[in-house]
Amino acid sequence: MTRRVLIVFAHPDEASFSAALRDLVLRVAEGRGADVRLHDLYARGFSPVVSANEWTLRGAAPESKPHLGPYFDDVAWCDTLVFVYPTWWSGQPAVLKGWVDRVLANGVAWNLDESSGHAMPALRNVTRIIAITTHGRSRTVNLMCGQAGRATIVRSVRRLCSWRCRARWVALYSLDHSTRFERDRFMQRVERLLRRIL
Amino acid sequence: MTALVVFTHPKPDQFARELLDVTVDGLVAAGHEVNVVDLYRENFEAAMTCDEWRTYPTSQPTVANARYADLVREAEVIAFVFPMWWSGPPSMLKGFFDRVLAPGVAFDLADTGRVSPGLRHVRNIAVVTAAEPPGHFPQRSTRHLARAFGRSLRRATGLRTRTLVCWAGPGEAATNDEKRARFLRRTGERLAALR
Repeated sequence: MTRRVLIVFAHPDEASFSAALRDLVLRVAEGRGADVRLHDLYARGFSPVVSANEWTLRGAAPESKPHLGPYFDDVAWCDTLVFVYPTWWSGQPAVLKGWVDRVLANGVAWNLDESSGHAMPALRNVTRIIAITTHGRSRTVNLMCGQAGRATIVRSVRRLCSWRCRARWVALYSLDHSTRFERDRFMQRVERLLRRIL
Repeated sequence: MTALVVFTHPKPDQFARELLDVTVDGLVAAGHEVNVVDLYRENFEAAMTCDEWRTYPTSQPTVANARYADLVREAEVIAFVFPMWWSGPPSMLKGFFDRVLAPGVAFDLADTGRVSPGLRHVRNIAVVTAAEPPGHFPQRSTRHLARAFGRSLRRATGLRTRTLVCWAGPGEAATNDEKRARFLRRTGERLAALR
């Protein structure tokens, strides 16, 4: 079975280490024969902001937001979600947080159960989440700060997916102090992981 | 004494407005001069640009952000009022962190990569947040997240800064008028006690 992989990437700079990680994911996924779609949020000029209009329509059907239609389609199509981003201030860059806020909408990622008021998961097509991220600071500092960005993905987003969805968190810490050797080793680790999963 | 209130809501309903009002009133009662930044009303650009990213280590705040940077620099209390979405602040507020709380404002980056706090003048951080109704969205508890939010900022302010966390669970935020009024009243009282 070919995997349907959606890569969500957010970094402003094409010369960055995150961009190299994105290229690695693309290369491995295509090498494994997977169908790949890429949301390169900066390249697409994705607006991160939930507008007042979208906020008013937060309980409405996805058809009410046609400007996000292609994003909704891709999210409903994929079975593997790969996030590639740098962690800034313990969380996703604003552009990626905006993707989570806007694209994971009612009727796409969840359905509101009127009787209980619970958001019921609707991304049952997604069985794998892989988050590949880099931190400037050490692991200790990030643990002390509570790793809110990790909660967004491995808790909030994962809960919207299939009940057997597994989330894998791959992080490089202390990027600001890292050596070439450490970065290469991280790339190899990511490549091994992707070859196993995809 | 100066306080900065950073308010984020795409379309403030009554509860969001009330939260902002009690925050401002509380800080005024504590004797602060209060500046309010309403990120949505001011059409804040949340996305960090490539140029900003490349000049990030040089600690030069961009012209567009100079006003916000000045407000942050003179604040002794910073209060954030926002709804919690998907275990984190709205993208708009995240953009405020990414772009305004940059080197040269929030912290200094030495050539060795060492970070030293730049917000030592901030004595109190207040996080006023509520879970969005309907409240059963998958996220870690609002309380835990609000704390984590304050903690990440304390790296820039130094560890002597105190963090006040006022969070409303879904029960307070949506369903129960009495609980909601109590939460608002208590939030106002706690902020008024900030010195």
